[in-house]
Amino acid sequence: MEIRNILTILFISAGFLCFAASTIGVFRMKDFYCRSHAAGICGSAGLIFSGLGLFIYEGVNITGIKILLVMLAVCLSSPIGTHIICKVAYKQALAAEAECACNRVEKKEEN
Amino acid sequence: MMETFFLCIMIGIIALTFLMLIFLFKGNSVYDKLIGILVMSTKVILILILIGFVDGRRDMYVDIAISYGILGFLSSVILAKFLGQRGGRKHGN
Repeated sequence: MEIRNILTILFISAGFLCFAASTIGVFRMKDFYCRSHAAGICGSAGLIFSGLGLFIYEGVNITGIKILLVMLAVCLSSPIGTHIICKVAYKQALAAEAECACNRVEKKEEN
Repeated sequence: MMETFFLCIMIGIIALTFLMLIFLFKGNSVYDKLIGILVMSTKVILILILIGFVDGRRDMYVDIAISYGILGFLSSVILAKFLGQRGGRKHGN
């Protein structure tokens, strides 16, 4: 059991934990925005850990660099996707649900 | 030994993807479905790379994962844009 395998197993199981946490989060959360936060975890944390684990197992060659490229591409694009979806949801239908500052101010005026 | 480890992780992530599929069909709002699509496409990227690691030809599968990653992101962005202009007016339809 070289150190390489041990590190790979550690990193990939951590990545798997992040994936499981994000899936459970998406199921359990009540509010839409909490759900999208849970979904964001999967895109960044899960892939960073798994990508690093696979890179360590692969070593520094072309395929390893490509794995890092995939990890970087998705880590940049998944938060952007989640942001766009939340913006569309906020603009159209879910503005009242969001407990952000502007909503709290309106609620204070009502009661 | 490592191949069996990769296989177990791959089967676990495939199970999580099916869980997300159930979440998609749970009949919640359109925006939750979009979030589900985004999460599933991220998971499929990792499944692709792990398939490459399990059956040996790794560099081919990593290329497939790169193209799928970019296309998956584009599809969710365009879907969100489409929802922005037309359709999905009321919550929960």
